[in-house]
Amino acid sequence: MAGSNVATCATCGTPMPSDAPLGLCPRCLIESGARLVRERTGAGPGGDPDRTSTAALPEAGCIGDYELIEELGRGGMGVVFKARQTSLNRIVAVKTILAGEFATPAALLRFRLEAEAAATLRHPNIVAIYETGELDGRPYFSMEFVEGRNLESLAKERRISPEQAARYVRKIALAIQAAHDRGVLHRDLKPSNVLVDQDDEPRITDFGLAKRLQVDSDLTLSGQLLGSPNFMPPEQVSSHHGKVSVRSDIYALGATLYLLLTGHPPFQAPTVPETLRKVTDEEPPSPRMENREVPADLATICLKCLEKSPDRRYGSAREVAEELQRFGNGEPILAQPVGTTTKLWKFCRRKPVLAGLSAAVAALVLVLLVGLPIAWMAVREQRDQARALLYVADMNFAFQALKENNLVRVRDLLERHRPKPGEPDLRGWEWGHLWHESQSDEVATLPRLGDAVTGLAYSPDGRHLVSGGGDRSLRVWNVTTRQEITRIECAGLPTQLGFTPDGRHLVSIVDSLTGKASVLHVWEAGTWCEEKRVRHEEGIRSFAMAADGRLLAFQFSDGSVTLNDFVSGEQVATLVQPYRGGYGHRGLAVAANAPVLAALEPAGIGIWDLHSLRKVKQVPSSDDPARFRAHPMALSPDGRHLLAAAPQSSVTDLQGDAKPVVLTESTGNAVGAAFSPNGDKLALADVDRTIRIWDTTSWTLFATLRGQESDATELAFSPDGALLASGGADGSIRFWNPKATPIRRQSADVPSEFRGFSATQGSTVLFWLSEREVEIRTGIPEPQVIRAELPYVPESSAAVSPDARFVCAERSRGQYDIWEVTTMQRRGTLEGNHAFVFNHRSFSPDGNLIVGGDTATEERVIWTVADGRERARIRFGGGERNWFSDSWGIDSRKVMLAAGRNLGLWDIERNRVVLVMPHGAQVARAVMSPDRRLIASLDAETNVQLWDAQTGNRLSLLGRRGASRQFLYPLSFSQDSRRLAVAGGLNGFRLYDLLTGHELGVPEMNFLPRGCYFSEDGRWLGLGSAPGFVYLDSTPFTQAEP
Amino acid sequence: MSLGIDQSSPSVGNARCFPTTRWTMVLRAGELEAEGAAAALEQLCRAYWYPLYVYVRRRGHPPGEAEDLIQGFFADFLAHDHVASADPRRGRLRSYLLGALNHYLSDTRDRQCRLKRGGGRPTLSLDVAAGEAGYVHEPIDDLSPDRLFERRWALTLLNQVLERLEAEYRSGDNAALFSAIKGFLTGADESASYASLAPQLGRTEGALRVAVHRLRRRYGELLRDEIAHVVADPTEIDEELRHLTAVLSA
Repeated sequence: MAGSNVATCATCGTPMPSDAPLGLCPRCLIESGARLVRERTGAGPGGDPDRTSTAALPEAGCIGDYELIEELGRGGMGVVFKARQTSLNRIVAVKTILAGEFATPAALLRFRLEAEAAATLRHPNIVAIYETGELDGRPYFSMEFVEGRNLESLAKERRISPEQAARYVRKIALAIQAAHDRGVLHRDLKPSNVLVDQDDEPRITDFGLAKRLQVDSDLTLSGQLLGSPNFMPPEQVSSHHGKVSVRSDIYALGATLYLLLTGHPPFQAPTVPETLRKVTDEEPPSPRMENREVPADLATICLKCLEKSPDRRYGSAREVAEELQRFGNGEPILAQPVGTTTKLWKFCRRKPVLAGLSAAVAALVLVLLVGLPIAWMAVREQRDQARALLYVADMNFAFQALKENNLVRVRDLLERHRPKPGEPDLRGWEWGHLWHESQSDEVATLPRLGDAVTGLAYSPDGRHLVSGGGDRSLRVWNVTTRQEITRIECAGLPTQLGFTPDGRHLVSIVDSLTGKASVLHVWEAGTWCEEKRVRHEEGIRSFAMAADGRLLAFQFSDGSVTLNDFVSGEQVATLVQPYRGGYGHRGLAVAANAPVLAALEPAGIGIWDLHSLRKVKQVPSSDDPARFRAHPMALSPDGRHLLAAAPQSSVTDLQGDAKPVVLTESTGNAVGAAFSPNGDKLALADVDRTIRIWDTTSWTLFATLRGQESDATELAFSPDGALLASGGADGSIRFWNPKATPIRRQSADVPSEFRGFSATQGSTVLFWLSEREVEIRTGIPEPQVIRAELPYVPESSAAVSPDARFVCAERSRGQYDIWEVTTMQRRGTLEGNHAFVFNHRSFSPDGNLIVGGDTATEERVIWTVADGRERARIRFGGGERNWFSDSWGIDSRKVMLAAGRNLGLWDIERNRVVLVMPHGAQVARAVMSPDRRLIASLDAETNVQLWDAQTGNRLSLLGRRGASRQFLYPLSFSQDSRRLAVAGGLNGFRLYDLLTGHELGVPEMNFLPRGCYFSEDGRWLGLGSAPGFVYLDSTPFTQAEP
Repeated sequence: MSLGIDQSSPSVGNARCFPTTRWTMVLRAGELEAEGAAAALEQLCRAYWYPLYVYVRRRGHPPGEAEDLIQGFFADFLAHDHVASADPRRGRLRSYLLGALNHYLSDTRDRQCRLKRGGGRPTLSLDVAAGEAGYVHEPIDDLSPDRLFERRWALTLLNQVLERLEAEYRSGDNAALFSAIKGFLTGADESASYASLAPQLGRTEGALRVAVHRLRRRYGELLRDEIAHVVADPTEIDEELRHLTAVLSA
């Protein structure tokens, strides 16, 4: 045989390289290896990857009428199979949801939406949907089987000529037009979603993100990025979903063409945030730069599709098709190539400061900036601008990660933006808020195991916790010191653990690594020596010990359930016989203090009395019992309540016939469950990385504990119920306090008789208790509470000064008194008999002046608080009564006056309106930034606009708040003037970063606030609504020097 | 199959860290397994860093700089959330890593900060000294950096497979047998060899043939398994195998 020191390989005769592995000729090695692999495809004990990947498939390899032949591919959500439709004996493609039984409701819904959207479409260049259906909760649809490759792999494999690329994209455009005509947006069009069939015809598939234009359900979750970043238009990237339109698909057509022409997408970067930044920020290089063979007209068409602003793209897919047709016919196209002016314009937009070097260009910038989502604030360097955009993107991701309870990711994203020396500090309220929210609720952890935790058991005296792990060890921990006392190496995988009720023995099940056998071990507690072992050839899926410690129940992998005597090991009874389809099921529970056993059966869950060994009840289960492989079952200690975590988490009262209580707060995919020892609490570990705790008397959610970094499949209460231990798939063991509700979202303790509330810029909060009573709170979170009662019921309105010293109340129509809050002494009366004071914002920020109206002359009037004398008076507008929207400038020297569509700035000292800001709709709210440089306004069309408080120029349209026009609530600037919060809209409120003009994302709200107010110290953001006042904390951080 | 109580240290057992997971797992990691997938990615990087080192060296970077670049690359690569952002359609680990490295190299050149040693972020502990020792033994030929990378990748993969195979034989006290019959892996079926080797091993010729058959079969299984670790989809195994064959036969 070939020795290792010869210069050439004895087999193939090629020179033997010095680095030959083990001295063997690499060429011969790989060739013989390839032969061996081909001979034995799919045989390795290392597991056949094909089999692994289809493990989640229905067992028989069938979905309904479809016999699955092979996997064709998979995407983020679905998997596609080649299949035979038995009834019609035709080959089809079947797409089903990838996550199968673990799919979230949102994923299921999105999947169904795809099927629904695509099913309405019939076009030769769209892959036809034949049938949609659902099998065991798993939705699927069948479609035409297209023999061929997708465009992306085609483009990678061979060069596609520009003419051919144009031909493909023209057909795709016509098909997209057909979808648009039916009111369907694709939203994830890209080359890999276009198949090319045997006739070289492109066929669009994968309407996975499709959205029906007329269906206004925002299923795509605000702020959540959907689609493929490389082919996504800027408006989709910046999560303004409202703006996603037919022109977004036009962009994707352009990006597809771009890839076909150059071999890569228009924007590429190593990370997603970087790609997103490029998508929003950079112009794509012309395809001609990459491939000189691309004709100029085709490049022009491509770049016009890729315009950042949707308005500058083609108006419809048909227009794109027509242009490509012109190009194909050699006719002149309609689009103009990007000329010098446009390039300059674009340059200015991207690099305002560089452009500012030239005065002429600066003027152009000024003009062009109006209406752009880039705020006027000087962005000193382009680098800073990029960083600011990245910050915005990361905060959006962080809010998303928080929703997913991925606290580690939240903290990672936040850490990226701790400024380094010399860098600007971009952080604001949201950063501190996310930081505050991302702190884990756990009270302690144990050193992490090398592999998943597979079992947890507390000793009955509460001193020890035993863990089983995927690293094939049992570890005994001292709970007090959190030290590992001893470790037992196992020959297989420990899967379940439990102590005997007397605490003298630990029982563990260890699965064999090679066969299906399991070994039952009995260890002596304290010495941790093995006392006994019993091997079971049929694997044990589950075991439980009866309350008296005399009986052990086993559930075997064939589905059978037996009862055995713990001491003698003899089988006492068989409760469930092996049954077909029972393989691998886990569903066995015994009550801790009562002789009750629950076990999964073919037809549901059977309940047995362990004294009489008779079955006493059958709980029907409509669901596929296979779900119990992954989802737990538990009995309350008194044996009265049965928790079944599949198909959704529900609790059945075994003593009555009432319908099960569904624990709706659970995701429906709980992976671990435990009742507290006295039965007052139920803990469920969920796939959303939370542990939720329910009160078992009312079945109301008591607490949601966050901080898991992976699924917690094992849960164990300490015997006194004071601690809950959890074991995660990541090897972590954590302790939680199951009796405390973690306080995250602070809510003010609202007086029960409360009728309404208001707050001023800053932190004074008022609750009106009755017509005469008011409660004023200053200094949240530990407020000083002042209650005042007016001597009369105000005629129509009343107001409290921001320093909480005075109340201004209408005694009789047009006549107002000023009362001192602490003493309830009348300080004065407003001059005139036709006064009208609007609300709390009528008081100037310094508390010295009141603005109101004169109902007789339709003029605005200012009075001094100290003596009630009139100080100034002005006429603005023609008597439009949106007076209530008037508000004070921050310096108490100016008032923003709302009159119809105009917002005026009244300089009191000069007694004239110095600026007029015309709006497109009636002005509803206005507020001045604390640094006095900006004014933000909200109009009746819910447009949120930013104005220069010095010049009155409109700086930008931040966005439309959306939702109902009925509620136009106050806006609030943060104290550093860099954030603007706007209440209302679908997400509760919106938070804008004023440096970039982008939304920062917001926490999930379970109510719709009517106002939001930043506290003066930036510590919290208050949100008021009918049921109360909630404030969101933000951990203070030291703001770096700018 | 005995159970014992060990109060001292964790059992050493199979301390050699072979990738226990797959590139597919990294690619398909949903939010639930992202942590595990990150660890899997790190493990894969650890196993396959050398071809990248060789690539950087062949591109003309001197040893110290190449070390910095590779350390920096992995720090950057592992710190960015590649797991969360990985697209299941991104293809093989091989091309993915090379693509990412090229991006990193051009970025780094742009920033002219080649000496970034990971900026305090966790790095992989790579035995770069051994890497350089290996590199100086790379054949001096006209292979381009890309070709060299491909070749080194294929050899690294073969090494992984053979190390696993050898470890299995060693753990079964069959190290001597392995060493004696490993030569049969290259495919030659020389009857003369069987006849002469069998007595040396104290076996009959038939028993030796069985042993060689088992060795080959296991080699095939491990090779397939190893390739399955680094491709995005099982359907790509055959294609990857063809690619490796082409690279090593060139």
